[in-house]
Amino acid sequence: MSRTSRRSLAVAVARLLGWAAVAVVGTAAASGVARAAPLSDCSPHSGTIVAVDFAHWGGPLVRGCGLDQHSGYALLHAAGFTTAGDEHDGAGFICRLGDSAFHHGTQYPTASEEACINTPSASAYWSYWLAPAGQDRWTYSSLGPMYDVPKPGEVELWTFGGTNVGGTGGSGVPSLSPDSLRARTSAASEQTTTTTTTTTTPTSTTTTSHTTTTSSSTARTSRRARAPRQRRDTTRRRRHRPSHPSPPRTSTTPIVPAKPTRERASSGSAVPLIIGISLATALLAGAGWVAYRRRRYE
Amino acid sequence: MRSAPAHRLRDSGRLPRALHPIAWWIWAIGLVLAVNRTTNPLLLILTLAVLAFVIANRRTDAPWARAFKYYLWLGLFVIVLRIVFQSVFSQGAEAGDHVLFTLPRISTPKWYAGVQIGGPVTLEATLTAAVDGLRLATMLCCIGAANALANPKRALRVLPGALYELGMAVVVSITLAPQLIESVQRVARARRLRAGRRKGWRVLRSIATPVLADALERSLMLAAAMDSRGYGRTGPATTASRRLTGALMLLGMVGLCAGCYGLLGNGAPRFLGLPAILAGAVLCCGGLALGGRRVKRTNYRPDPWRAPEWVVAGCGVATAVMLYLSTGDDASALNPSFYPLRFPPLPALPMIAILIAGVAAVAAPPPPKPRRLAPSQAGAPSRISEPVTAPKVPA
Repeated sequence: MSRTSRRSLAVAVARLLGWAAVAVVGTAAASGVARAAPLSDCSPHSGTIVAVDFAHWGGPLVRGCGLDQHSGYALLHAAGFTTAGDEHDGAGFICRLGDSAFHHGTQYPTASEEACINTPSASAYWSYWLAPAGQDRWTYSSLGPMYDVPKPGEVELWTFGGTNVGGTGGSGVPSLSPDSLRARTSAASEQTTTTTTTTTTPTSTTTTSHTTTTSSSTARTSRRARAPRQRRDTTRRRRHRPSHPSPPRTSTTPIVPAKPTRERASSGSAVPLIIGISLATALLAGAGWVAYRRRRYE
Repeated sequence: MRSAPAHRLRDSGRLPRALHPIAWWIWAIGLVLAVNRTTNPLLLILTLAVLAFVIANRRTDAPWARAFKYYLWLGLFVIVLRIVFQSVFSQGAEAGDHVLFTLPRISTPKWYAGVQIGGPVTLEATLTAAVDGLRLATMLCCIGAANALANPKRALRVLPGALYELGMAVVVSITLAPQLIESVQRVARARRLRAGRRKGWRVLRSIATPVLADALERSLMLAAAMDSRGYGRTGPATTASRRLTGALMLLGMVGLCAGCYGLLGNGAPRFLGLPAILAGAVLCCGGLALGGRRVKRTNYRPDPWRAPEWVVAGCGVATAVMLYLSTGDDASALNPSFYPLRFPPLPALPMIAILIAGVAAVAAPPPPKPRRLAPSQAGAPSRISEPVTAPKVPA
């Protein structure tokens, strides 16, 4: 036992040193605050539009813009969104998304809905959709946000829901066309950003078929996603318009511009770390003492 | 020097005895469940410290009680492997991340674009991977602690009667390894004392032949001993009852499998989850009970289940329950993120829950004194004159 406890003590000391190093680095380099580019910076030929659909929680579709970003992940942050990865895949797997324009920047799905420890299931996750300039249909991104490079005039969309493996069906398939999110001329884009309840009507038949897919797959969503979905259905009913007998989902989803969210840059307090390490060290010292006496008197 | 150990005198109010092995297993499994809820490195390190403290206080001197250090090595291996995989399958880096080093990128074909090999390795990703590995390592060490603290042979006694053949086979195989090692050591010692050392393949023959002969002799002795004690008789089971037992067990296993699939898989029908598991468990229990009736066993010196057993098992259960209850309150404290890099918090309730598990170090009775000396202390010459381990009383 003595050897064991000595070894575990050594392991603990090694970890302690490791954490101290982390602490120093962490305090020395506070991560920067995201600076948002205004939507007017994006035009049909420059900048990339990125939109996040919070409709799953009854929220708006938040739209932002980024110029010359080197990855889809950087684009999200440049547009003012905050992201959180999951424990298993790291920050590169977008598990939560938030923006100040919706519920004061709360990241969705919340911890009660998705723990974000393992990779989220394919029935409820943020899916990543791309529409290059001049293309009016969504392509399910084959790359993660860390490796996709946004191109000028492109539109990127994040929707929450489920998809099949190929990204052709499921509740996560976008129900509105890329053109309804695209940057127009500068004057037009200004107008879109000021009106928060602009309605978009489906322009192509593909969109309508996607909408039907969405409603049919609503029935087989996971238990986890059921409660918020019902909430969204009631909102939809409240905003129901008599002029449209069966309005597509997009007709009531307001499009709002993204607001920059100040990311927390503080590295937290070192007190819990010191308390935890001292407790563990005390216990290990006790174990070592007992083992030493045992070896001596046996 | 080898008289009454001083640390046992402190426990003089209590008689040294081995705790019921099932109590240790409940305690360890409770800790495993608790650890499963968190990726907070402070809580994980605290759990490891509690394990070490309890083991240092309450392990016996049996060979399996020295197994914990191997679990620590295994845990270290898990952590390293996790970090290596995280580094090779890089997640990429962003502004604000701390890049440690950059591995060469290997470009993958377009149809395989989802997996990236190589790229920048960040401190954040490495820490996340290390903590994820630490969680699995801690869970392994919890099982290792149960192995070190509980007597595996006595734990097999609680197997249902229907599985007694299985338990017997496990006991025989557990005993085999130490016996073989002892046998090899004995032969090697005898070879050292003899002159005329052989080299090459002949060495193998001169060791293997006596060891094999030894093993064969032991097996025959064991078989004779078991035969004389009535092992292996079929008992009063009829064909019908045997078939019923088989059917119950099969159906029960199918139910358990379907239940696991229903609980873990997405999109499985609701009735496949908990109901199937419960039905499967009931069927399996029925099958085991029915099968156990044909075996009549008596228990020689049964392990008692007294207050210390309740306390130790209760500690483990309390830890698991408290961590499950506190998940809703501070989910971010139980699973802190390293993006951006910051100190991990130390949530109070889970910390207290893990410290409660350490009560087992005091609640359990002190381990019994060794009735014979460990082989390392016995001295080589005396062992050769006494090949069969004779019980030795400490002077």
